[in-house]
Amino acid sequence: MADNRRDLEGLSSPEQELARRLEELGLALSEQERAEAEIDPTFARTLRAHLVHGEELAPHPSFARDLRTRLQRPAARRISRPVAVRLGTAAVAVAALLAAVLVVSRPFSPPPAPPFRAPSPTTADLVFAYPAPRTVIHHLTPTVSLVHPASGVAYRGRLTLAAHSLPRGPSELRAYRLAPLSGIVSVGRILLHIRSPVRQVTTATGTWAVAADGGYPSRRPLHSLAVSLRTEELIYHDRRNLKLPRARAPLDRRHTIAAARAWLARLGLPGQRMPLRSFGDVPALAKVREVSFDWIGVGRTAVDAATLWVTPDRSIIEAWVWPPLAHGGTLPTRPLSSAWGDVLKRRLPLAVEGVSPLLHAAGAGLLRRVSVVFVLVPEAKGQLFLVPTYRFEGKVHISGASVHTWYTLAPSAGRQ
Amino acid sequence: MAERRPVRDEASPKLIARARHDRTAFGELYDLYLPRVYAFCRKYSDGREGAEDLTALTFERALAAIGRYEDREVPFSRWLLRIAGNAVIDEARRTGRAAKVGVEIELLTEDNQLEQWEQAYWLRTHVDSLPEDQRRVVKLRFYEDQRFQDVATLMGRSEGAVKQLLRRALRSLRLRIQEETEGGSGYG
Repeated sequence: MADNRRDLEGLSSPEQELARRLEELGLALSEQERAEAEIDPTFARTLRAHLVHGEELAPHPSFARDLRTRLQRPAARRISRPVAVRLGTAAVAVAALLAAVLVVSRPFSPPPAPPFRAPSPTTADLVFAYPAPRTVIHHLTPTVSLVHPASGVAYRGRLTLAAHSLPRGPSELRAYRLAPLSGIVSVGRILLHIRSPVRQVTTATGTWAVAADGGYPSRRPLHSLAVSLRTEELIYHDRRNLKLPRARAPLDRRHTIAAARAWLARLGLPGQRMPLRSFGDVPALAKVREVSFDWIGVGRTAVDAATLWVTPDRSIIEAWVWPPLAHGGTLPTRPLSSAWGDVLKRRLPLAVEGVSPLLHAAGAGLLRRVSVVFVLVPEAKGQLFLVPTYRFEGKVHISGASVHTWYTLAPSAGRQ
Repeated sequence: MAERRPVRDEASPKLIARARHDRTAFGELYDLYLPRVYAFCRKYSDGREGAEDLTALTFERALAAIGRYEDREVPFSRWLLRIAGNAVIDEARRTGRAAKVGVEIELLTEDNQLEQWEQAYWLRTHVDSLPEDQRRVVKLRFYEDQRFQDVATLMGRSEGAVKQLLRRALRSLRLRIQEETEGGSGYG
């Protein structure tokens, strides 16, 4: 890379070659690093025990799911045996896994904090990032993000779930209040060269501060910045200079990420420090890259902190951004058994991956993993929080369909 | 840097020979290769669970086939990753994901693809042996794709100091690699 050659003058040619190789392998290096850090010790131990001390192998496993079945044949009473065998979970491992996951999920060690209050997530907050029905966008609108055009919905069919055992959860978890973003619109419109003034627009999703040039019904391409006064999410569209056919190839990873970080930083957001969450293509737009980031120092979240679409000429044509952290505090938690009780009593919305959420078919499944996931919760006063929830996850056999992953998010907060 | 097969962290031929009839020895192979096999499977899975399934399948197949492994200049890691690649392909075909992933998945077991993966792993073992600040600058610059000015901000140093540190890191890295090359096989 030219940048490296210029900046690393004085290196011998083997060292320059080494830099070039590191450059080429950058993606693999970071993928390996990340993957190795997430290996579940329970899984590693269980598989080792099977390989070293386990029973003779079957002639050939159809898939490793069968391995789990052989290792830990579940005694599910609430579902039929064939289904249980197919699901083959490692539910016994949930206890140890949960302990590890919950510890890992707790972010940076906090200084002693004053009592911290955060709102409880509503059903709408919990299902926000659940699988959503297919949405067709006919016209770009300043207040609808193409990254996330529709809120998720709960699965409509009746699922019968079971767990072998539940561990005790943590006694407390961190939660975070986010800084308001609404003030960004007036400054952002100048920085992004939007000529129209900021106005308030009320839609079905609430009131928004919007600055927008062009767009439907105008014939000019839309260039807009909008921030919800209720949820504080920022939505940006720019379709002024979309010259994709001229570009030979999509932008490479490094420049895509740098362009996205710089755009966020330009708006005063901590783009340079936000951890990279994902990088890939935008399915419907050839040559456009999507890059997303996490909040700094927060564990797993249901929604990306920021998602941007970057063109080959480094322009940002779409952005969906949530506010940065303002401060955090500790919340007492309720027992996991109580949250799981709510799941069994069907008080919580369930999600099933890989099937239409509008499907009605019934199914039966087992719990195999519990972790902590943060969801966005807007408060009535207009403040936004990242609140921890318990994420119960497993496999479910849906009638008339194959085996899919189910999950649900359950509020984790106890009495504050 | 000359193309070379990574030898560091490869199992010794003795251990591989023992693992043909001794499950405990196979356990040692498993300990050595689990991280790179899991990482490879994770790259081609939608989530952790899928990666775990593919990893388990890979080691089961390896256990069943280790009697047929022959070291004809093919490192054990390459042989294992080829099994993992085939497991990924089989699963992608089974679930219909292959059509979506397309050519990439069909090329999974090609030697150059696997060699790249192995070489990345080999480079990481050397990077991890660098002093803390050198390791950090290499990771921020090459793993995280950060620009020099961003690396400088993150490390609380000037851009010039960061470039100097990276030069030092590359030199150390080159010397370590050279040392390994000259020092023998390095079988673990």
